[in-house]
Amino acid sequence: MDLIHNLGIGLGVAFQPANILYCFIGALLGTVIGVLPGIGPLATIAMLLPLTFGFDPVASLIMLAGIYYGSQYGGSTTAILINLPGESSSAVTTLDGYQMAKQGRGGIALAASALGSFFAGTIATILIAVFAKPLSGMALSFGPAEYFSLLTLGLVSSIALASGSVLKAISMVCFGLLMGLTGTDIYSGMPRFTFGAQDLLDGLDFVAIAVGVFGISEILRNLEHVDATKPIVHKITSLWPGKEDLKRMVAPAIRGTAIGSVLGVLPGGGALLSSFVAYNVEKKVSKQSDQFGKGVIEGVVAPESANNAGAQTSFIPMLTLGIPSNAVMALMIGAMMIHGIVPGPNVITKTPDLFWGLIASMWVGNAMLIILNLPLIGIWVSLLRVPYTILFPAITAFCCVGVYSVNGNAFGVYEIAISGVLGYLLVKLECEPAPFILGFILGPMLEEYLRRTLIISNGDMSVFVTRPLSASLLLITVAALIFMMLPSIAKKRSEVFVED
Amino acid sequence: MVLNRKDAAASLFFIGVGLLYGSIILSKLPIGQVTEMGPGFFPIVLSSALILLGGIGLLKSFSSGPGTLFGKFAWRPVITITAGIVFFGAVLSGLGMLLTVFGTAVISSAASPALKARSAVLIGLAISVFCVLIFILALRLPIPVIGAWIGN
Repeated sequence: MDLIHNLGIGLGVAFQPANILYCFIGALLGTVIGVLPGIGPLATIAMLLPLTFGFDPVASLIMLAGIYYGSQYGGSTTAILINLPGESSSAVTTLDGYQMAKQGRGGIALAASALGSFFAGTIATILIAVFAKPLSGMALSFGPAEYFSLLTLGLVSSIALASGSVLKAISMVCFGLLMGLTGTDIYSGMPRFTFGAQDLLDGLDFVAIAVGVFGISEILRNLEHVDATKPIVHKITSLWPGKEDLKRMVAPAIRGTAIGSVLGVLPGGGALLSSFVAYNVEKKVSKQSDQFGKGVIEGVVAPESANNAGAQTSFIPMLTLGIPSNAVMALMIGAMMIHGIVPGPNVITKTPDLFWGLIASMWVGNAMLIILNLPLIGIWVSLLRVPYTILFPAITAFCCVGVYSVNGNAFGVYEIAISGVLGYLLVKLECEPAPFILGFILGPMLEEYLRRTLIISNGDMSVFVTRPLSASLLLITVAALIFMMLPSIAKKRSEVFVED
Repeated sequence: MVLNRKDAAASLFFIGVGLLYGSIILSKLPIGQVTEMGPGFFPIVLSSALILLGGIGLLKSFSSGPGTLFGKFAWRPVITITAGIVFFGAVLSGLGMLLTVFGTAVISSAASPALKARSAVLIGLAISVFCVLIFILALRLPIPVIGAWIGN
């Protein structure tokens, strides 16, 4: 069997002692930042990106990936214990998880979330292994028109991720696309929007912008209300779910995994959207939907399985098509490029040990996370007592060091300050940064594919709809856009995001 | 009729960006044709879209209910954190890692009024020593511990 053979290669790589160590460091860091509110996987990966310069590429990707899925585990811990989602993808877990904690069933909720996540992680790993090869095969037949349509779909689905008005989210995408075009135009060699600055000829620094928009503006938001009130942590009694609980976990875990796996693959999808959808589906199919929000185990298992599955399958478009489905994946692409690996359909064939090693390490990392999160839960709870007054100056300094070390000039550091303040202002105006950053990353690619398509077709716009693959991608895009604009959905969206 | 100031401000921002970038494109960048797109083609589409979307948003903000502009605004953190970051960029090559990180941490920690000067200095010291250990000793980033201004 090809699959088993490939997974064998992967496990061989993942089980090398050094890689196990990096996987562990990643999972550990991920858990820590997941537990600590105010610092997310994106800012962490951006800060640590430069540190991985000296690593072997496989090791650095394994570690960065560990941070990402580790943060999903850590984020749910705080969601359950103190009603504060460490990560936005755990926001929906607070609904039932915290209620369970209040009823003294916090330990069971934690176990349910960890086991659900592990199950989802295992399945998602297998799915990546199964689908990666055919998908990258298909990607080889993609022309520029297909890529353009795929990117458009990604941008539109990122709108679904943003809370608040669809109009603002679309505007943020366009704003991001425009900012992404800063720098020298590769076709004409003309500088665009550089305002005469030499440093802008290579474009705005993505790491600096990401760190500013997510890291710094998050600090500013947190500092609006620094109150010294210590969070109330509910006592954890038993960690092990009983037979009845286990039985109730099976179906939601499977449904959550399925939803997460599908939505994770969609560009713009990933963990956040998956958890919301899984929760709502679970509520719909449940015979006791009125109990949701009052502490049912299904309301914890389903979204937690879904966000972990989604976090993992979001690697599929990145690894096979070279397209980032969310901002974290964009950073991963950045990490690969630093090591001279161009993400895309050739990764599997050219660097099989990297590809399969990364996938296998995700499974290994998920297993480590169970151990990290359940028996060691006490450590993470005590981490919640670290005062934010120590954290935020440290995060600010780390952001600066990280960005400076990427390109070694002060300009990038100033970009952090500007994008941080601008990001904060926009958040205050209820404009979410996620669509902006995706637009920023995809802007140059989108323009490039549009240009190439129209050169090949001799200016004929109809190729986008006459090529079947491109047409179907665009059809999905339009359907998604209409779907989001429907008044009833718009209302649902605002309900869902109220909890955020 | 109540103007939703939040929505109106966001819309005006997008319109402003659209107009600014649009005028740059029209004055400097050739747009070209569909068959051979110039450097201004895609940007002009985007800036027009921004103006259009902002315009729709502005119209809607008259009917979307009340909304305050910013509400609670973190003035103090915005100033101190920005100052801390700019300080870092400005002096790192001259002062080196140790003092720069110390300064950045102390300046930015002024964002929290609850933090006393003494604890700010202690936190700053801890962070700067930590950064030197991790980034320079462990990870060997090519940044001097003590910069050229102070001498080696």
